[in-house]
Amino acid sequence: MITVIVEHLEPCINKWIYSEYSFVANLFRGRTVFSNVSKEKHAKVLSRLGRVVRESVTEWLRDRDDVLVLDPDANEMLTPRDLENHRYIVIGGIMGSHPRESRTRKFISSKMPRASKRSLGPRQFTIAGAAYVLKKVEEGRELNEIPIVVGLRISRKLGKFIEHEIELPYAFPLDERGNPVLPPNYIDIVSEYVATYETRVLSSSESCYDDVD
Amino acid sequence: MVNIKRYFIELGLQRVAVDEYLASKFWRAGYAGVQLIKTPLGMRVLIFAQRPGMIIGRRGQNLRVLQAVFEKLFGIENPQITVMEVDNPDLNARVVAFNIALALERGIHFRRAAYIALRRVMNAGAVGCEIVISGKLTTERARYEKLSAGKVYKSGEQSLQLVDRAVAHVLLKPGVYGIQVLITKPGTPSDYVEILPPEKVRELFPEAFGQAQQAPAQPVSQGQAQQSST
Repeated sequence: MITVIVEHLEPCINKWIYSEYSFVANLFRGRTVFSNVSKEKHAKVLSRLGRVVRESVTEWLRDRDDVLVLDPDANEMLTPRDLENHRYIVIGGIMGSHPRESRTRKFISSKMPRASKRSLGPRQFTIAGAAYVLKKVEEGRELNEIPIVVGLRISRKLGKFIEHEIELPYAFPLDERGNPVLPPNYIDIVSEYVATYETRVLSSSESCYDDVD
Repeated sequence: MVNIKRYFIELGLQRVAVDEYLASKFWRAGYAGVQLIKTPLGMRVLIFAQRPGMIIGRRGQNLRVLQAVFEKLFGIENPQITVMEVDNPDLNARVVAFNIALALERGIHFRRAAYIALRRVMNAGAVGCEIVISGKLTTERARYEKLSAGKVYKSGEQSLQLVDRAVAHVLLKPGVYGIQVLITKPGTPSDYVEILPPEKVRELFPEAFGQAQQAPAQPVSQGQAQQSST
């Protein structure tokens, strides 16, 4: 049985990242660990979702051989056999850039020489998407059997004639009905909440702030 | 003998270099474009902007600096600079993009800034407008947000003739934002077809309408028509 470790690398926790973390925690209930949680406030919030470790996974599990890091830069693809040989699976808790900046390699895999590195494919997944794919691989499915869609478009009408479209240029796994797998209220968070959050950030001197109590 | 191709390519490169330099220096002044016209006395440099005063500077001090830069950096002989106000700034993609960048710099949320800009462009009489803003804040995913209204041609002759495109970048504290503006200017696209009502046809082509009335009611065969014409 694997344990999923989310290495928390963002300086603040807002509703967007929290929705992704809670999706991972629900998917691997009782088997989720949040590492690198140095702030007391973050520890309090994330302890509701799973076990919290203050240390970074790069120090905590540095000398273990049964650790596997999900890294888009890895040469080998993840297979169900890999999960039989490893106990801890590490997912980078980073909100993606486009094009990606290889931050999982920079902050995690390069600091863990003994850990195995596996990729979920050439496309960049969200934290929730990566966790869903991992769950399916754990259930015995190969990566090429899991359907994905690249790019999520959220469209809506503003007034009579103005169309507003938000595009997230990442890979999203599809469920059995062919719909992208998203955390609950994800669309509302991206299209409604984010604008309010950003307005507050842009008008303040801080680069981000915690928005989950 | 002068290599004609090379001459025009160098002229084009010079224009692009001057344009990029002015755009980087005067984007806050609503810089819209530049024209280089060769005259017997030297080169006439026509700069278009929304706020020409910011380019001219106090007592023309910016113009003196520009003159030296054009001569020394870009090799323009005897540049005569004229700064003009752009005709309709809301229909100029570059001005709109720079205005959005300016709004972002002032701390206005980009969705609001883009919405206001889009409404201004449409009120100025544009056929269509599309504003795409991309970027990311800390603790957020990079994403694209697009606001569009009306018709925006992406390919074909209309996209070359009617659509004005501009890109601006702005560096904010949380990261870099890219702004792309596409404006379809008012005009007749090449696929435009108008079906006129009979009254208007009678008004526009009275002779044709008169001939049609005088024509015999029964059909005329092709042979008869040829005989009558000869």
